Order: sequence, then C-alpha cells, then structure tokens
Amino acid sequence: MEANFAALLANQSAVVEYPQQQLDGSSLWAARLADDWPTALPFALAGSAQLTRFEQVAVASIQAAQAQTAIDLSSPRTVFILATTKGSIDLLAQEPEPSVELLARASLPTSARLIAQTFGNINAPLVVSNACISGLNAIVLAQRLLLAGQYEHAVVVGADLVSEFVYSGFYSFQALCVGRCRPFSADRNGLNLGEAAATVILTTDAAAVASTAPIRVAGGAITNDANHLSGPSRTGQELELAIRRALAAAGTIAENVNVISAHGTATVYNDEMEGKAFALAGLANTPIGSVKGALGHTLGAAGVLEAVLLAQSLQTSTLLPTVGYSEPMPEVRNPVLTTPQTKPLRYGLKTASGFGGCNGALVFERLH
Amino acid sequence: MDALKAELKSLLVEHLNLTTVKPEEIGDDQPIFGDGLGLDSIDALEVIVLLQQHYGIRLTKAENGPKVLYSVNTIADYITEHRK
Amino acid sequence: MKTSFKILGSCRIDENKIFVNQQLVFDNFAINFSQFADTAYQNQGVDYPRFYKMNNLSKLGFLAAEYLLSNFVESPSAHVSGELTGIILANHYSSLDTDLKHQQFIKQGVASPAVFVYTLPNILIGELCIRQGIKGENTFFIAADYDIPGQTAYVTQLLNDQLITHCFVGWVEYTAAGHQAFLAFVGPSAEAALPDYTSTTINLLFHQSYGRAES
Repeated sequence: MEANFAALLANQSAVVEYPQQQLDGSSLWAARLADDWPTALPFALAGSAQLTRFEQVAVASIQAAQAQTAIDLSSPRTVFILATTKGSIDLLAQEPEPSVELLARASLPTSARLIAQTFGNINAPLVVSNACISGLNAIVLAQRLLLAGQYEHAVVVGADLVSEFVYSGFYSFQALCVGRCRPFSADRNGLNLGEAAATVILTTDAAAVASTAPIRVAGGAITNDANHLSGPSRTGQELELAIRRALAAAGTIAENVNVISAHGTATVYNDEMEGKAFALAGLANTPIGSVKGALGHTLGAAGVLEAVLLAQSLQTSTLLPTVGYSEPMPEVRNPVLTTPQTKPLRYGLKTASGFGGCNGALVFERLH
Repeated sequence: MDALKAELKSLLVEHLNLTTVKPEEIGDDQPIFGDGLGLDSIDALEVIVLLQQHYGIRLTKAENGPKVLYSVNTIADYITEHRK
Repeated sequence: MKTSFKILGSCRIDENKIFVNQQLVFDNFAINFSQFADTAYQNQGVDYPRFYKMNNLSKLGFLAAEYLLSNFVESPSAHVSGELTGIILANHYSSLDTDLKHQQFIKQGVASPAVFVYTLPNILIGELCIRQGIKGENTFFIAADYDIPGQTAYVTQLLNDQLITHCFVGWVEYTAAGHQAFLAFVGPSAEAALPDYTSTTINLLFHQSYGRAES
C-alpha cells in the first residue's frame, strides 16, 4: 500500500497497453497484475492451491492488512464482507458448456466461503454486488453493522479482475480509452480498467487501533438515479443526495470537507455528473482527485482501494495528484489536484457511481 | 436499396427486442431514437454492433453516431457508401 | 419508542404461479419462462415496452413488483417512489443466466452491449428504480441461501434510522435450473391486520406452502 501511495505521489501510472486483446484484435489499455504476481509478495500466500486467481488476490490483500493489526479476524465477533462485481467469472471460459459444478465453483458464495476459511472466520460471509459502488457500499454496510452492535470488527475486501468477460463488454460500450485515461479533463474519452484487491479492517474497539492518527468511518449513504441502466443522472441530484446523507450521518457539513476522492472514471458523462453533484452539494470549491488514471477502474474493488488511499491521505496530510489530468472541463468547478500537496486534513469524502444507477458517498474523519 | 431498408428494419426489431413493433411499421424517415421508437443509448450501441457484424461497418457513437443512426434512411445511406 | 413496521404487501412467484399476499392471482401453463413472463406481463395490462428488453432476472423481479403493487391491501402508492424508499435484494447466482449468454457471444467473437449491461445483479434494482422512481438506499447481496434474519435486521435498521420510510425486500433468483421470486414491500402502518415485518413473518411468507395451488 505504501508503495502504491508513493507511486501515485510520483505521478506514475500502472496502465499499460496489451496488444490484440479485444475480439476485433485491437489493444486494451489496463492496469493488470503480472502473471507471476504471487512471487512478489513478502509473505507466503495463504489457502490451498485450489483457490482461483480472484480468490488469491483477495486473500493476499487480507493477509497484508491482517499483518498490521492484532484484531482477531477469526473471531465470531468479526464479520467478513466481500465486495465484487464478477468474482471468478473468468472460470466460465474454461469449459465450452460450463457444468453445474463449474458454475457452483465460480459462484460468489463459494469464493466468499473459501476466502473466509483462509483466516478462520466461521460467520456467514456477506457479499455485496452493487456494480461499481460495491466496495464503497460494503464499507457503508460494515459501518452500520458495527454501529448496530451486531459485530465488533469487520474485514471488508473489494476485489475484481480484468477478464475478457469484462473488457469485451466495456469495449462494446465504447467506454474504454485508447491510451491512458484523463479524469476530469476536457478531452477525456473513456476509462481504463484495472484489477485489484484492497482490504480495510474496521473495529469499534479504539484500544485495538495502533495508529496515532486513526481514521473514523464517519458516515455513508447509497442512492439511485432511477433514470438509466448505464448512463449517469443528467443532473447529479442523486449523487448529491448520497453526499448530503453521508455528511449528515457523519455529523458534519460540506464546508468541513478538505478533499474529495471522486469516482472520476474519465468517461464523458460520469465526470460531468460528478461535477454537477459536487456543486449542488455545496462542495464546488473543495479539491477533487481521481486515481483512475494510475490504477484504472477497479470496479467492485474501487470503493475499498480508493478509500484506503483516502485514509492514507488523511493520515499523512498529503493530497494525491490526478494522474492523467490534462485540461479543465467546464462542468467541473472544483479545483482538480494535479500535484502532490501537503496540508492538514480532517474530513475526506469518497464518492462512487455505477451501472444500475447506484451512487454512494462515504465520509472519513481523521481523529487527533 | 429498398431491400436493404427492409432488412435493416427486421434487424432492428429482432436485435432490439421491439416485440410490439412490426418491421414494416417503421417509416424510412422516422427518427428511431428519442421518442421515435423509444430507444436509448444502449440500443444505439447495439445498432453499432449490428452494423459491424452484418455490414462490416465501424461507427463510433461520439463521432458520427447520432447523424448516421437518425433513421432507417440515414443508416441505409451510410451502409451503401461504406460497405466493403 | 421504535415504530413497528408492517408488511404492506408481498408477492411470490413459484414456477408458473404468482401469489400476492398468499393468494394465487395468476397461473399459466407455459412451456418456458419466457412464455410465462410474456403472458404474465400481458395479463397485467401495463404498457411498458422496456419489459421486452430485460433479462430474465429483471423480468422476474419486475413482474413480482407489478403484481404486488396492483394488489395492495392498503394503498400506500405515494410511498412507492421517491428518495425515502429503498430496495434491498439478494440471490445466490447473481446474473449467471446472462453471464453465460455474454460468454457465448464472446466465443462467437462479438459482445452485445444490451446483453453485457445485464451481467450485474443490481441491474434488477436499477430496473425497479426506473419503473417506480425509487431513489433511496439500494444494495444487492449475494448469499448461499436467503439470509432472512440478516436482511430483516439491516432493513429494520435503515427504517429505524429514518434513512428510508419504505423498502422493497426479497430474494430473486433466475438460472436455467429454475426461478424463484419473493418480494415484500414494508413500511409503517397502523393497520393491525397486516403482518409485522419480522424475520419470522418473512420466513413464513417465503417458505410456507400457499394452500391448494401447491397441493
């Protein structure tokens, strides 16, 4: 995670060209893990060799997070939440006519159970599949379950891979950028896909938090555009509603938000809609940034991955630049972060929107 | 040309699941998006895929999509002009 | 004092039968789901051409919502849409039926946008939101089985916290092996005759045999 943060500060991008990937032979620009990625891990990957690539990536992320805390992830008081859009969907390509056994193996409950086994958690895992807001939605869910006293701790992992299943679909939507994407830029013309797993461990036990600047998951909310399956709201009112409710749940106001980690996919309509929503929410002067130009759109993982980076921003008083940014777009009034900045930070807002019209907003607060 | 238009109308009805519309009910000049046939942007993308599959024509929604996909006439003209 | 919430209406679709508030309202000897769904849609007499574009999972959930809402015990129509209504649904196999279809297209060297968009389970929620104008809390859960206590606790929390006043809850599953839909609309009501919204009552409505129609 520190390595990712440092690379982002240095304005680097993991998005590269993969020639002849699409069905018509054209290139895919995406941020993908190397084929031999487990060899680069500083620890031995837990779980059996039978885990799918998706499950392995999720497990590796949980292991890395677990190493930073003494919280007992196997406790019955710990809930495990998996956020993903497509999980091990790449398995479908293994058989011309997938068998019932293969379909069961590829299903998300199977993946969630096998991942939970690697850290000995016996609770029924929760799986959130709410398109591109899955990760953010899972953190909001975890916060609510902890607030209700149902659990003491939560392990939230968001993970998704860049499979042919997914990139051929986005290609048919003409949603992919040839080259590196340009979030919040006038000449933006599509997104890059990315694959990732990211984990947050939440607790209600303040004594279990080692950091000198702990992050409070202050509040969140989910809304729906009720407008179109793939295109975002024309007005941004529904994302604004999510932001307004998240701020209220967090017990704060728009003026107190120091930074927004936006969805910023670099598609024409998403970035425009977000600009409108921020203005409606009274956040037009708040600095915004997107990491999609560096890490790609990691779909169901994005909400967790980007929340982790936002937490790191707050803890280190460092604002990340928007890798790939080119020139201002008229629909966004916010200052777009283009260079790393150091300043005291307290409240950070994370937003996300996805297919199916869903929007999510999440507020983090740095304590101390 | 008329055969091409008739074929296009059948393809539209079939690929866009226009169950309540008969191909011959679609007018040559009738706008097919917006209020016309109640089609949306996903349908537009679907038509682009259809044109590529059946006629080998590449179209991008951003560049000339709206103009070409206006009506059966405009699509037929574009196909006649660009067919390989 | 906490408000008690009621089940304002429920709908269950078992194979070719549609039950609303435990009463059989539609029964059709269809040869496949597609035929059943089209007949059930036409039987409702609504004009909503989008229906024909939906995947089977969305058609199933759409029909459950249409039948539920057209057979209300109370008439809380004003609460069906808007920012204070939510939808929390779940199933086991996500959008598998459409996933396989998309995979078949890929094998043939082409991807269809109209198919791909339905390869997410929450597109069903999106369809219901578009149809009913619902803008509040919405999440699709995937679970091995319908976790009724978990879903009921979560939705009750959303209602108690006043994030929403009304909510569609349920389980909607479509695979080639079969389909099942259960949808309930819950919210506050002074009507004593309505069942309380608890995991016990949802459990009964979901699992119980509905009399002669199933005998």
